[in-house]
Amino acid sequence: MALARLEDYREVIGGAELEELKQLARHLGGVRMAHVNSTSVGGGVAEILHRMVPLLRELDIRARWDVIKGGDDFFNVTKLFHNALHGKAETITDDMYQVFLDYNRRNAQELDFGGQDCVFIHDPQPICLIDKREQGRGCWVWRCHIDISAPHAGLWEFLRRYVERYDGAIISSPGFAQQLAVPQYLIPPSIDPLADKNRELPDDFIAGVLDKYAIDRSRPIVTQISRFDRFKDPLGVVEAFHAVRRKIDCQLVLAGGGATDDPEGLLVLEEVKQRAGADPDIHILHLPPGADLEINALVRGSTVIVQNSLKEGFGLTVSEAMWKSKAVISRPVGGITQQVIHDATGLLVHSTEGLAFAIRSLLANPDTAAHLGRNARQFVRHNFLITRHLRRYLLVMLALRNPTQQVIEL
Amino acid sequence: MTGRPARPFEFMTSSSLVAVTGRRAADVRELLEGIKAVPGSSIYHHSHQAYREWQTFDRPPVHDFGYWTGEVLREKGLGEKLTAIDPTQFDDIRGFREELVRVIERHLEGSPSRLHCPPGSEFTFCQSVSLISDTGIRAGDIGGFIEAMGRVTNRSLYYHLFEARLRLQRADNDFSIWFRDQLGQPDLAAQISRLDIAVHSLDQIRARLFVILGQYQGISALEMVRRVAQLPVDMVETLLTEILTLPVRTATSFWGKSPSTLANALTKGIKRAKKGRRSHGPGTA
Repeated sequence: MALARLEDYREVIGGAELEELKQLARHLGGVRMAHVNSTSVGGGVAEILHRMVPLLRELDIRARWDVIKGGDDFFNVTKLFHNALHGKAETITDDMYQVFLDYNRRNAQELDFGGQDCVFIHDPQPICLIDKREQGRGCWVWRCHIDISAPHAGLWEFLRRYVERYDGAIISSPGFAQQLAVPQYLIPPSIDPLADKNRELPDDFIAGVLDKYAIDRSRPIVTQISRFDRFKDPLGVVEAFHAVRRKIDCQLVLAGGGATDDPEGLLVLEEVKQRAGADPDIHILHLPPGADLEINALVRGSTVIVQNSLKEGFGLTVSEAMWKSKAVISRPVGGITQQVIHDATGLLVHSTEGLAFAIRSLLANPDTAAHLGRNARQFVRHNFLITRHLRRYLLVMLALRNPTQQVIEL
Repeated sequence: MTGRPARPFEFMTSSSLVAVTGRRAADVRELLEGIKAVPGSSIYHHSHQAYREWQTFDRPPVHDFGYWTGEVLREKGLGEKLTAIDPTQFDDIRGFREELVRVIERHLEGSPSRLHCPPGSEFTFCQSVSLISDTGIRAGDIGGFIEAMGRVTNRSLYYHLFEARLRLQRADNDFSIWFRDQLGQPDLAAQISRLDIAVHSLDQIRARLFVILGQYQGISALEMVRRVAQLPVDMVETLLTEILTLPVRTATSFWGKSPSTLANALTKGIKRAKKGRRSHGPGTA
């Protein structure tokens, strides 16, 4: 599907909101803005930049997007850094730091930021590019998309020295805040309402997808969309489903990808299959990458969506379901607490028993589920759409022009 | 006074960029220490972001101090007392902060309880940077004002009802001041002043403003729909629901139609407005 144009969002966010966005961009007067990350395909950051950079250009921001280069040795190190920042115990050697610095240096030689008014460096991989900053020119922002609430101490100390040379940092959730000498802005990630994963679908397409997977459209469907990962606790979802089924005739869909190249994922998938046994009402769907339309249809065809994560970065699958006016039941972890306000935009639970009871109560009270779903969509429209994300980036650029002021008159 | 106003109403808007301060609280004492120590912009953020961001969730907005204490920390009694401290009733942030401190200190004197929040649910002190800009939208009379109400965002409503009053220490909200001082409509101004903005979402406030203003102008329901057509459909639906759930007697006497007749007309009106907008291209309302 062709990328959406700015004007296409008018139907979604309204003319008033769109006009305000354009007006805000006019205050920036055609600035040059560079984004740098480490991959052009796969992952949430690339997905957002693919859509955001063209939208910025439509707003007369002269935006460009650079991707740094690296060999396997570099990406092995950055993967290990990623895990260590997430709190996993890792041993980081001097050689690893050296590999990281060498590749950053090589990329710095190839990239030219001369004349850029604002540079957004995404995540730790290209963080040392701050060395390229011209004295006194432009604003440099480190955009951190990952959970750094409990990072590996040594690694964070190494990175912090770079972070504090930027004009500001952006984090996704208040829980990720660190003590820093520069401002830390709070900007959650976003979903694109016009992307295949989220756009409106015809009823017959949704029905076709459910039929394809032999899911009965006449009975309630409880769904969790996620990788087969222990942190998503799919086994807990199966257990809760068994408890619900003692009272209500319904089906469970566990759909996700990412297991084939991940030995741990394959193990979890096997355990889930084992726990599900031969129950024809438990549908375990291992979907290939790019199955966005099918995932969209599965969510839209479901009665209740579950996100039983025990640990989560931001958990955008929650916003994706909320945007489809679905009642979501989730645990209060990571960025999910920013999305689900208990009993207003969804339900928060703290145990498998609580999950089972919440599923039962929503299946038995469809009006309550519909009400939560309506609130959820409205909440996402106000807070987690790509247009809001875009707006917040514009605000960061405007705020950094006046870094000492709390009230800025444009 | 019935002539044109001396000065048109200039719709401003306020965008908020949130920054974390790095300070956290896990219990009431730490919350108190934080409230005493953080800058005024942080108290402002936590006292007002609920009004800025709250949608119609069937319950009124609750500021962050009351919500966290009652719902996260589960100090229900203190949470209620803090929630009851209405920031819109204070002329400045200092007074609101002092009242929070007074209530928490009194609570701590009487109750040594030190409940801790669950890990990961700490109160994170943030602060807002407000970026204020002119929308370019102007209104010279009540009709123009109603039309503008269909073209401005909730952020603009928020600015004129909450932010400007507090920041510029005005005696009333901007709308009421303009209706009274420029249009010579003290009754209309008083009606808007009496709106309890602390217990409604901005969508609800917009709906009530439409009803109050429509009564002065005798505008038909379909005309109203045409004028709000620049707002997203969800918001228009909320707006109409709000209007239709006003007491039946009020709606009937105002519109001269039964609510069901009105609902049908409104639904047709929305469809027509949306269809017209699609066929005439962007910006056509």
